[in-house]
Amino acid sequence: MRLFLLLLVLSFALQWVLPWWILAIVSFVLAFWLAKKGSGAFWAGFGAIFLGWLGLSLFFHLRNDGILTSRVATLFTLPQPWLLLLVTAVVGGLVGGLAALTGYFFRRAWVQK
Amino acid sequence: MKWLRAILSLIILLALVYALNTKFGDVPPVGKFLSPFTGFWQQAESKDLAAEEELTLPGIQDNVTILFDKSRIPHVFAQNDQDLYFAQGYLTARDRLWQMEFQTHAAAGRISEIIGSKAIDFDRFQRRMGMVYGAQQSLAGMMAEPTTRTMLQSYTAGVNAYIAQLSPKTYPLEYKLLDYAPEPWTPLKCALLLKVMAYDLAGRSNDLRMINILRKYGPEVVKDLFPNYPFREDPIVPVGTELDFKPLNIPAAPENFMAEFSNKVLEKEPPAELGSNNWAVAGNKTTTGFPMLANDPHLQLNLPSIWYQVQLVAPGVNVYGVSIPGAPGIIIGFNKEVSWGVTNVDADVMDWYQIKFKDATKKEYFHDNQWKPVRQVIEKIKIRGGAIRNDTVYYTHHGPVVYDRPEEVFNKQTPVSHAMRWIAHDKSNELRTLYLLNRAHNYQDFQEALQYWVAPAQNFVYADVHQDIALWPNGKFPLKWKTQGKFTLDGSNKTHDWQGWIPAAQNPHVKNPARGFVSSANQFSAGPDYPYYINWEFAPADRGIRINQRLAAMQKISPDSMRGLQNDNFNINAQTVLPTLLAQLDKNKLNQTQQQAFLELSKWQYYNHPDQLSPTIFEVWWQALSKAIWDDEFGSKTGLEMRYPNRDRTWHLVLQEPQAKWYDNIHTPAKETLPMLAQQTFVATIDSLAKQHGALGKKWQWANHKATSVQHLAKLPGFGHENIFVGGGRNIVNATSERNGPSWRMVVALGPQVKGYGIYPGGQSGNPGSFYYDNLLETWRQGKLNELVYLQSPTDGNAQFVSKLSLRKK
Repeated sequence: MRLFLLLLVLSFALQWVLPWWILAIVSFVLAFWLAKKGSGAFWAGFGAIFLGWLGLSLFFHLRNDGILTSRVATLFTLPQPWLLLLVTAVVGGLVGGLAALTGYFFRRAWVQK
Repeated sequence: MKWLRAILSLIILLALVYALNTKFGDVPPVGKFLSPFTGFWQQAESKDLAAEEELTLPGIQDNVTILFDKSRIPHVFAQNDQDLYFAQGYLTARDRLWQMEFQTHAAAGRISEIIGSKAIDFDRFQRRMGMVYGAQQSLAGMMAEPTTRTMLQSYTAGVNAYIAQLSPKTYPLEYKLLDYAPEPWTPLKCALLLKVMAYDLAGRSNDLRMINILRKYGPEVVKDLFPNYPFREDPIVPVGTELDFKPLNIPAAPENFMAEFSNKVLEKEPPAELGSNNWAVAGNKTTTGFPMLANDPHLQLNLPSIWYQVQLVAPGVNVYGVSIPGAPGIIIGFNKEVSWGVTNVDADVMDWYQIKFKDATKKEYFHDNQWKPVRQVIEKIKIRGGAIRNDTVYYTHHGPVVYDRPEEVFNKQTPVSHAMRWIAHDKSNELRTLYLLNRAHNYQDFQEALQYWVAPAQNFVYADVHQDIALWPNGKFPLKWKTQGKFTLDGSNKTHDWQGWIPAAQNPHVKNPARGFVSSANQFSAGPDYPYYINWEFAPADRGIRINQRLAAMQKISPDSMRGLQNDNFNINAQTVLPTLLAQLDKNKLNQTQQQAFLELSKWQYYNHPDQLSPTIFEVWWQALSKAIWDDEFGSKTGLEMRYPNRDRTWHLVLQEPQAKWYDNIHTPAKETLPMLAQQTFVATIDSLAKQHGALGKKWQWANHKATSVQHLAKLPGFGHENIFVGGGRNIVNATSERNGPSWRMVVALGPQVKGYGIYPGGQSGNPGSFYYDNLLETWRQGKLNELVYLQSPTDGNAQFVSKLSLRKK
């Protein structure tokens, strides 16, 4: 839970000012430091980034009455505009989850030595 | 083992991040694009604007106040010209940067830099026809004059002030989608935009088609089917208008010359239906007692909108109207005393000269009995990913040899081994015309402004508060022998060169005619009594005929009746030929659906209203019939690039020449006649419509069949609007076809308090994530106009404003 919350806050802050892939580095480092289990690391990373991306894109979506969401959804041939929010969050979540898992794996390899 | 797992996992992670950060084909970098922190979500703007905003910008000399009205149109109040155009550049870039830059990249043949090698043929064509060369010539003209130099430099500084504020996060959406970055703006780009207009409006040429027809069928057929003046015409300057000048001598026509056949050719020429309407009525015909003016330029229906509305106020100027994003000043608009508008003049200002090179090195060409040097220019086309392609272009004194060897050319109208002589390659300063028009007080100022306009030639309509109305088909016109350039020309013969110019004051013009109105709709500039040759063919006269009929009949004209005429759906073509065509049909041979269709057409009042079925039937039938008459002799199956005789000639054939040999299809043993072709094509039309839309009924409605769409400039699915329910059509006053139509409708009522009305099919913002991207479209669709807010000072009528921006000097 600590990993999840820390990741949520820190990745949100850093993505605000740095390129989007900074989230992979944050997830990796925090999971290396804090993760106890592989599945825990993945789900903390996935959940924190998923939530951050979903929250922020939902904010833009609502502020904009969904005008752009439906245009981009059509461009990507999605049948429903709301799917774009889901796709967005899942893409972010996957990177976060995989990065956290990788961080955890490195920690395990490191500690064993 | 654990290390292996860790490293494997890391490799997958890196591959995933790399893939999500990279553009593959047309797919944007998915992670970068979807991230709400940096990607497209950032462009999902709020509908509400900040009420007050203050910005400190380097380059501003004095404070500038900008008010935004409810359509988010900016009204700029500056203390001097520099700040005025700086602010115009800044605001236009803020709303339209991607559009401005993309269009200039396209004009300069630089699309391969953005989308890769698939654009290479397009880029080569743009460069080989000398778009950049022409822009450089214009730029030299504009920079040589202090006022226009200031305009360009200040506007450029304003655009760059905006670009300097951007970061990848705030780049307009299309940059994110195509994954590239904006570059600094330059005055050359402003000139390039004017060349884009010149190509769209003065970039069509029939010379190759006509020489092919001349070679195949001989001068008699050309004279018969491609005459130099229509049977039915209502020219812009009415026949009988007295000349107020003594004409120059016209160069003698040389002996006949026929260039060789050339059939190496491709599509991609500007559409023929780009045209426009404008007119002005005298005070004695209006409700207010003052003149009124209307204008609607017909261009491709695109988003972001082609035009950008703005009011520009500084000492000595207070003008409202539309600008082209990327060029300073107002192109169509009004000020306190005068209003003006433009439609295109179909002048023949693009000619093709067959070139004889001395040898394969192409270093010299033959002209005026001597070998003259060729100037070689190497174009370096950058391709996304780093590759560079070099392309050599050969320039003669005529202009560039667009294709110097047989190859698949990009534009079908381009003959191989011919040099292009095009007015848009000449030094010019169109900006000076705009500068002066924006500040004009009276007819004299208007006339003074017009002399600087070179290309694309425009019909400038004019009305002022001093009760003058006028119309000038205006531009720089070569002094030609009659029909010079109707066919391709001999590049070695000096007498085939352009040998001088029609003096600006002798361009066709009409001022305060007795009939109480002036109008233009791209038809012939003047009648056969005008002493100079401008072209042998102009746009069909239909719109002009209808507008003149209506204006002659209308009295007590109000802005609303002007608006009504802009939306007029009457089909002159149908009125002219339909009764004769219906009389050809043998009703007994028609099945039930065909009989129904026949009945429908017989009852039709010739209006292309959106809910009518008849326009659908008639338009399809007319196309099919024209094809049946002409395609066997002049169509693509002949293997030569040719064209059909024009509509006016086809009318004459159908109405007056029932025995003509052209009805016979030369590929069949039978001898076809007009009644046979009419019957065949009518049956085929109804059958194909039934196949497409089902039983004769609602689906056959004109708007449904026509399916007008407004599309994003990059044709992105979902970013435009399809199947817009509107009437009108090609050659209808309401010229809304499938993809082209009124790109700006304006009506101005001059008077002590000038009043303007206008609309375009889009919105002020170029951002697809903005409410203001297409908020005006529905009003446009309904044929309505918004009242334009014209202010005297920033404190005047504040209630109408939703937002205020102050620019402060640093």
